[in-house]
Amino acid sequence: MPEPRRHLRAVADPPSEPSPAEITAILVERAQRGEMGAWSRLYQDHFAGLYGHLRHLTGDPVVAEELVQETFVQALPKIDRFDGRSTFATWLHGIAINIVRNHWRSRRSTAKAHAGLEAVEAVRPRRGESPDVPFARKQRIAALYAALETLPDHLRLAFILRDLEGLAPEEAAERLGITPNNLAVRACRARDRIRKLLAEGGVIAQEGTR
Amino acid sequence: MIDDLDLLLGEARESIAASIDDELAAIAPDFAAVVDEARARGIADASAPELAAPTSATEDDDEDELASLIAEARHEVDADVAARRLLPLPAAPLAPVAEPRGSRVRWLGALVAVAAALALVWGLQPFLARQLAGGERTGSQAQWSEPAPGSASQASARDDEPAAAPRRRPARASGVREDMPEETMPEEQVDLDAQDEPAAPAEADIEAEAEVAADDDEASTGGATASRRASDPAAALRRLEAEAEARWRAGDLAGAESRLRRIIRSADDPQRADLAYGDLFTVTRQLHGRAREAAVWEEYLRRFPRGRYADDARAGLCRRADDADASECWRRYLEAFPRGTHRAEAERSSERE
Repeated sequence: MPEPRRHLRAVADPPSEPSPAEITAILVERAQRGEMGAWSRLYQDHFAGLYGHLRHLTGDPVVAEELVQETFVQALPKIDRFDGRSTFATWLHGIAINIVRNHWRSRRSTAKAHAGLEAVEAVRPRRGESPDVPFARKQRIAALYAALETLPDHLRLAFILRDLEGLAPEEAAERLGITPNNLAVRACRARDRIRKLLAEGGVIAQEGTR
Repeated sequence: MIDDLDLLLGEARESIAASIDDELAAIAPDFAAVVDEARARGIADASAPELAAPTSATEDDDEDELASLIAEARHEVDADVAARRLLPLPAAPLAPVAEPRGSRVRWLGALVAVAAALALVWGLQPFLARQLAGGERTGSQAQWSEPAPGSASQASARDDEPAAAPRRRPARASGVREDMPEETMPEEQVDLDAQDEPAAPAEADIEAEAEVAADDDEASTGGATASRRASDPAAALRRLEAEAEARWRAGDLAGAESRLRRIIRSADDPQRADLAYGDLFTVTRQLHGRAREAAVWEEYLRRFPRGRYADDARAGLCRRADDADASECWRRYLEAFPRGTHRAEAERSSERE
């Protein structure tokens, strides 16, 4: 091919606007110099994405909002160590994951998680009833999160990022600092356990009974 | 093949996505609050001077004076509390009512009535909950069998600690900041405090909340009568856990700490002790600061070298190690946890050397 890219670039280059990634890079550089305005813009730009991430991880809007704030508080003094090897968002989400893991740890109570499952069992829709009743749906999702609370953190994270948040394997693996293969193994193990727990709680059908 | 779990996950994804949209529409991002919090922790001033709101020299002086005044007041209150705890203490709340006094009689009467009523409604409970209370160690944790190095020099105050626990919700520890002065009370005295009876309505509320929580917990693990509960070690531990949580919620960090310590000292149930350390790390940091938290990590690693938090405790110590020791610390971490959660960071740190 006779170098079409050169031609296209020659036409398009001069007035091009910086890409979002380039803007973020500039903002990060300024934030590393301690510019409040740059930090404020980074905060605004990444608030929604980080909130969504934490909302999936925690299942609780109040906690998610609180942990977003905590993530930025902890990110402030660490910005000097952001070396650009990953995206700023990935770096930020990595901090958030550590914060979430500590949050889980601080409130870990398997007994309560199972109490949640039992509560759900009491209100689950019977066979033949519509599962789309809003309250029942809410309860089923609560049951899912209650089941997740019984998992070890590494399985829980893999499952949420991959199966609930729906991240691509590579992205989820990068955020967790593991290989995609490792992520797949963890997510698969988590699925097996979740399925078993939810089936035992009557939230989903036992395998072979559908 | 799509199974019930896939259907539930699809439902959950759809519902959460819709909720996120609604919630984001209602949330007002507040960067000023982030900066305030960073300043309160001494983060913003140290690493990013421009993040601090512009203040005149006079305002700074005023703030210094205010901080000094607050520190003095806090010190005085701490001294009063410590002195009070040195006084002879009455019997534990759950003991049979032997020498009732004033409001304590009424409180204990109400407590016994509540306990008796709850004892009537306890039913059959699942065993699975407590079986799982010990949880499962991660693969990386299970591989580690060496004791922690326990070097005091590793507790230096570096900020690069992604594993630091987040603040509790305001309702849980309102008015409690991480930079509170260190508690100087000997552990034995703190432990004695666990036997203290409520002397004020707020204290009674905490105990009542703990009572209900302990009942809930017990209801999920098989149930027992109130009289049996007083002598049953497992029930006593459950009650301590509930008390610790209630006190933490009420902002009584010292009370929470003393109860967690009692759980940890109990030789009856190592799994509960292991779990209690998870809370103790955070309570210790909130109450005594980061250096003491690191000491608790070391203590934990000595007792539970293969515990559920061993991986994180070891990594936390490495993050706070002096630059000269950090690389070696991470190298040892990698030896102990070749598949550890923090191995990427460990590898980077080792490579830097």
